[in-house]
Amino acid sequence: MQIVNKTLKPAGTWMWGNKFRLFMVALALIATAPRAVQAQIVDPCCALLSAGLTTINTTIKNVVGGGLNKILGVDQQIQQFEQSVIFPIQQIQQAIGLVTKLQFNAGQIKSLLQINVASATLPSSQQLERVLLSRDPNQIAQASTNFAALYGPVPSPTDASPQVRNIIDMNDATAQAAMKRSIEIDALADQEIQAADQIDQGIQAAAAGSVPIIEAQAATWVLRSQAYTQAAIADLMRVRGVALANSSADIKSGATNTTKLRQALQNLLQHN
Amino acid sequence: MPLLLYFILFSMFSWLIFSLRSRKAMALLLIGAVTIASLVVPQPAQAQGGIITIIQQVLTLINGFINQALTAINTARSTLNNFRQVTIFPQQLIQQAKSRILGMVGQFRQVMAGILNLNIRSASLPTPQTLESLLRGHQVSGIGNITPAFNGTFGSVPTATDANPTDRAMSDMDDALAQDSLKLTVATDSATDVELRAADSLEDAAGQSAPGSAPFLTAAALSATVRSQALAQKMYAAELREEAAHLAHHTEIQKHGATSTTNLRQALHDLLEHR
Repeated sequence: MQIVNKTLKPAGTWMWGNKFRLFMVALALIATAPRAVQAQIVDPCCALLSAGLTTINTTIKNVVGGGLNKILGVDQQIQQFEQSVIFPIQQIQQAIGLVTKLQFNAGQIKSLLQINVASATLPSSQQLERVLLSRDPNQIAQASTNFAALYGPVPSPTDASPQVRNIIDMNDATAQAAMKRSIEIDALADQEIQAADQIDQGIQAAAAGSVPIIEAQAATWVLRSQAYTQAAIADLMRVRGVALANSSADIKSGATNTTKLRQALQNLLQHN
Repeated sequence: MPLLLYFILFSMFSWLIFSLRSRKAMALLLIGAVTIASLVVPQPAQAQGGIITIIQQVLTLINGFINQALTAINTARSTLNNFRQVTIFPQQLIQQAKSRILGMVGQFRQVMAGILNLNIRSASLPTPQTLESLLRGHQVSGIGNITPAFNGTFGSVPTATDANPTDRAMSDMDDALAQDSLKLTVATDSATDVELRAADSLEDAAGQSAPGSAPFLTAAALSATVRSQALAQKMYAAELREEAAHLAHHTEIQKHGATSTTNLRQALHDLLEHR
């Protein structure tokens, strides 16, 4: 007890002596000391908050989670339907495999069409045949020369009547145009075969969603191809039309000649 | 960290308080310290509204707007799913279409192949029979034998002593274009066989296809159609050459007739003059 008294007495004396200073420090401590923050678990306010958050959690689970689950269910159905019924990968791969196989067939067709069929044996006919089977539009200009070398020119005015000369010229023109057209058509057909090859390559590299684009392109090529076929048929019709006109011209010419002969005989008989 | 800083600053303040002798200085230090502390130390914030109100608002938002939005999305997607499965891609009709293809394959394929492969060979003598066999054999390997068989049937170009050069050239050209076309028919027959096999394969595949894989087959069929058109064009081109040569030949006869008439006229004129 004495030891305590001995220790505390000077402290008390010092405190009493510095009471103003201690008051200042205490005042400063009260004014500036950091406030204690309430704990979130044990505080009754937080229990309320916790209950609210639990309700929110339950509601999110039921309303948002339930709604999203329903949407997920529908989406899974859609995905299943798309993958198994609309776009089954196995069938798509099978289709692409078939296209690859068909491209091999196309190669066979291409080589079949490149077989040499040239058959002429004499120089002038060989020259004309070479141009006609060339499939090269650049050689079209030579066709007229080779044609004239083989079939001869239009007779001179002293050798044939104007009417006969007109018919011969028209016939030659039609025949030459048809021959030239045949070169064009061969060249166009070669281009179309190349295009078909490229379309096949496009199909092999396509996806189910992009293949309709290639399909559309292929359809336009079919249309284009039909147009070229029509051009060939048109020339064929022209040749046959002119040939038919020739038959008719023969009859007309025969009729005119018969009339002239009849007149000549009549004149002869009158003179006798 | 802020607590440590506060401890250091408070210790400095206490040391200064005990160091200063003047009460006036101490009071000034206290005022300064409190002012600085009140400016620097953040005050505890008070809640702006009741927490229960906020929770109630969140719950209303979830149960109202979000719930309605999710229900609407679910309804739309269900309708879309139903529309695709029932109206656009009904499995029953997809299966029906496949069955129809298989049915048509069974109904037409063999019959049509039988019609196309009917034997229409009609030659009765050995030489034409050989030529006909080559022309209708679908074998491109036999194309080289067509020329001898053709010459055996239709004869060769007359020799130079038997016909004038123009007639020989025309005869050679006519024969050449005829043979060209005949040889081409062998090649195109063979190509037609390939095309028909391709058509069979495409039809078989269509019978096993799905709506998503069918466009591949359609595109392939269209591509094959382009090729087929090209083939038909080559046949038309050959026919054009034949018809053109036919017309040119006919015209040459007219030219020859004109020349012959002129020559005859001249001969008669000369004869009459001599008389």
